[in-house]
Amino acid sequence: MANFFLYLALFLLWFMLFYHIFLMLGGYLEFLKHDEDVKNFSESEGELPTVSILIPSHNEQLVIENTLQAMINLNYPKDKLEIIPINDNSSDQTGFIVDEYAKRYPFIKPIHTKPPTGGKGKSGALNQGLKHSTGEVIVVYDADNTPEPEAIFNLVIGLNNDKKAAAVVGKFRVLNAKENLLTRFINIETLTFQWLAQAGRWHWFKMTTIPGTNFAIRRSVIEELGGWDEQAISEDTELSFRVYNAGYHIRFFPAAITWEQEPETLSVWWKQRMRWAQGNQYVIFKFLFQFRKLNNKVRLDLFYFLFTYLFFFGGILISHLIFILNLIFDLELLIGNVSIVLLVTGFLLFLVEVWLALSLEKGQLNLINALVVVLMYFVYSQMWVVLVLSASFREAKRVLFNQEVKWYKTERFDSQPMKQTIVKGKTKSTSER
Amino acid sequence: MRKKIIAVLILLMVILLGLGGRTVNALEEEIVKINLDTNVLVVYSTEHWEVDENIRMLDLSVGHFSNNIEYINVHHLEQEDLEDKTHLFYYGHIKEKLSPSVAELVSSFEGPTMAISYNTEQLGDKYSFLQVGEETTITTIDYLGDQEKSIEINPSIVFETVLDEGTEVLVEGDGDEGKVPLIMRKDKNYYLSADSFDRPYSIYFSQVLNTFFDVESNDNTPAYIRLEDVHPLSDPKRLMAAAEELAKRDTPYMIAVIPVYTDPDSGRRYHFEDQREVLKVLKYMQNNGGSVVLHGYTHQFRDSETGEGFEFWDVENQMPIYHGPEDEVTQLVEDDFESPEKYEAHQTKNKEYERKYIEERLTKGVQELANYGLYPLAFEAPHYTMSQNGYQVVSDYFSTYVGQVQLSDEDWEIMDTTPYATQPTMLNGMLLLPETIGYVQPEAEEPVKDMMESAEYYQLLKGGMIGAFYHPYLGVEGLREVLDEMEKIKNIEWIDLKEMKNTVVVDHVNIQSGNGEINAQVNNLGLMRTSKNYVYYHMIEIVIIITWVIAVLGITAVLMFLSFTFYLVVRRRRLEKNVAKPLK
Repeated sequence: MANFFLYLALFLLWFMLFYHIFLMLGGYLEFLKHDEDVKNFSESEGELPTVSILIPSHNEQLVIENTLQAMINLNYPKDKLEIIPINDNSSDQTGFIVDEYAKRYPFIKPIHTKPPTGGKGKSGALNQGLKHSTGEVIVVYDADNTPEPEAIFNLVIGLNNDKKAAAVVGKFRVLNAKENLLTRFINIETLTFQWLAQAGRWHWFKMTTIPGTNFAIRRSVIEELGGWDEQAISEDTELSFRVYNAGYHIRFFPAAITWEQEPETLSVWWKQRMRWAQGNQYVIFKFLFQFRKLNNKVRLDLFYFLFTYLFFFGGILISHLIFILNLIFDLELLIGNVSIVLLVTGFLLFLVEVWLALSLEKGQLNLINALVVVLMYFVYSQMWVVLVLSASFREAKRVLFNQEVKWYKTERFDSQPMKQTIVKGKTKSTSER
Repeated sequence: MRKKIIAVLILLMVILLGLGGRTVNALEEEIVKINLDTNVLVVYSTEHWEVDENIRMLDLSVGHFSNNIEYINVHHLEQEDLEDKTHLFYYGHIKEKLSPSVAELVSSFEGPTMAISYNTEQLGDKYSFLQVGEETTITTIDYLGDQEKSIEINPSIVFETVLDEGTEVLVEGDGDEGKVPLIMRKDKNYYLSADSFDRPYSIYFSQVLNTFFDVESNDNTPAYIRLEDVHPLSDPKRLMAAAEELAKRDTPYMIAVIPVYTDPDSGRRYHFEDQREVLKVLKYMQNNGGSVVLHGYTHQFRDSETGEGFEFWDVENQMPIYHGPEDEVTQLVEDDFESPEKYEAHQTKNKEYERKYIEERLTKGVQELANYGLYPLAFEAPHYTMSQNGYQVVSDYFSTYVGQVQLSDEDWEIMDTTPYATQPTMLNGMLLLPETIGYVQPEAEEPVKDMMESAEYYQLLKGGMIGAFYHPYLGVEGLREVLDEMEKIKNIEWIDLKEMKNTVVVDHVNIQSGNGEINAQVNNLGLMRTSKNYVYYHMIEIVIIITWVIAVLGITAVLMFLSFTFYLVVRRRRLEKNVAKPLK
């Protein structure tokens, strides 16, 4: 019996690991041809469309100014740009700050929502913003993002050069990567996620998951799909599924770069990731129940998500359990030497995949990061195991007892000194921390 | 003309085929001297008028020369029993009054005749050349054909004889009262003046039988070494050490394999499929000179330990297995029954039970091993114990038996060996490869020396078999010592079971061997239907292969990604250098 479970776990894990190898290979190949793509696309930028940038903001006084500054610095014809901060039922100074900016910059057109229409979470805010926007292309940024000046331009040329793409997803980088060990972990994690999962899937399947920020979507498509699902707490994943189920590509185009803040404390990290995990589980089940209506590519991706959250973690749990039980009782496992080979190979695979992903970003594969990756396997990865377990438990409870979805907004951290501010001082006095 | 050429060609082919057929049995022809035209009649006098252990000892000796031997009690002897017979034995194990017709019948028989022990004076003219006298004790035996074949023995009793002139003494004893003839003949009529076939008599007796049957004996000394009691919990390292030692010496050998180990404390049963290391070694052995011998299925009964317990004999009740391990045992004798018929019916029922019990274990044993790809070529009963009925059952499945044989159904300790390979009647056609010189007993002071002393006895006999066994758990040093000594034996010829024609047949499995090859026909589908354990083994086998494939692919991916990373790092450095230059 123990043998059966051990092999079950082993095959599940390695099935997943092989899929990851396949994706990482795709990510690497995508990287090799990316420069060429950027060059070609820039040469044939086409007619630039009007763009509406939606920035859902709920109590974002700590970070919203930086974001708006970055928007102002965008290298995109201002007559074709409208920036719509959605002050969604904030109780802090967010509304005041965006209004101050709107006074000076006419292309900043904030909207303020209050219950009953507002305060329903990110999806609700985005739908409100969509209603008020006019651009042919809708771009979304989180309130803690500072896109690089060329970001919008790059997203747009991605769309202009790829008629089948309904959306283009850029790359996000971590602002506070060197803050502490946790942010270092997160930095490495995001780079790996983007090159392995995002770029890899784009390369092989023309699919990328919309990450909730730094992406552009054609207005025609989002309207055709009826906007964002207000039930979903990870509205981005949910939207991605609907987009490619409608037969469109979602292009990964890492030339469009944004910088964002990542959690600096464990408790914030926990709450944010808990929201993602629960949100993704919601999406999995939503689409699993309409499996027949999905096209094959979506099924594949759904299967991947399902695998990640159920089987992969199931496999990890079983193998952890067997490992512990085997220390206490003699389970008479048959596996023998090959188990050590597989264990070591699995670990090495983790290391080289992450190292490869780091080497794709300039300056990221340094000695410190290389060593942090080793530590990551034993600390950060195990934190994820606990988190997914806990999220599954919560999601199960939610489904069983039919509880309301609660939107947890990620707490922001006071970022580095701002270069340009127009409402100095006021933000800090009401710091949430 | 053309017809003639065709005829010649056909003739050539027939000759070639004939030669081909003969080479298959080359080894058997060397170790047994069976002449298919030889028909032997053994007439006996025993206490219960039945074939007993003494007659069976004779059976073992004669089986080297003939596989066509009939047994008849002297009181039942009739003229027709002698028809078509080429050789006659009379074994007078007890002193008794014979019918006058016996003398007439013996006298009328024209072939070679051998009388043993008592009652020769009642055998008529043929034995008028000698007069048997009192018992006497001898301490030396001399083989008169060869001075080197004299040995000293423990004091033994033989009969004094007075011989006519012209009687040839072949073997002579020497004791306090001077020399006494032991085996003698006048013309074609032979006499053995002892009442025993124990060693060392058996050696001289067998030597004389060569002359009796007019057979040329071999110069080679056939020998074998058997690794004993290999079961799932055997230490694979020690086993491998033994296997490598034997492979290094290019010595073929046998492995007595027990498919199931039963833990006496927990009662848990271990199979080879759970002990893959041992299985791996066994496969290595089979491919490198080893031949598997099935050594029972569990080598135990009730809750005894594998290797210690008896499997085909209830040693606690000193009887064959006529009952389940939990059953209460009541031993009934003939007097407990109202009529002989009822006793007969009772015995038949018992033997049926025993047959089923043995059949089931043999079948399981062969099937289980064959499922692993191990093909037993012979059988050896645990502790050599088995009833006469048991041997009949085994002979339905195996063509070769290895070890010693239990001669009595009353007492397992009445067991013996014989100096030659033999195909005795009691084994119903099976070829017996006798174990003759024992094994390394850890408690003995000089165990190997004891074995080699025995070996010297058997070498007195031309072509005598030197069969030994060794417990591999004792370590490879002991084995080395035994092999070193055995290799000194003159003209030693190691027996390779695979070179011999062996047949093992159970449901779904048919194993044949010959010319160094094993040809196993296994009906896998049938096996899989027989037990889900057989399926399980193959599933695990596949799973293990898959895990290794995974490991290899995983390592390949690691190397691939490492080289990608390396490539990117180098490429970036080169780019940075190129960018830096123009700035200078």
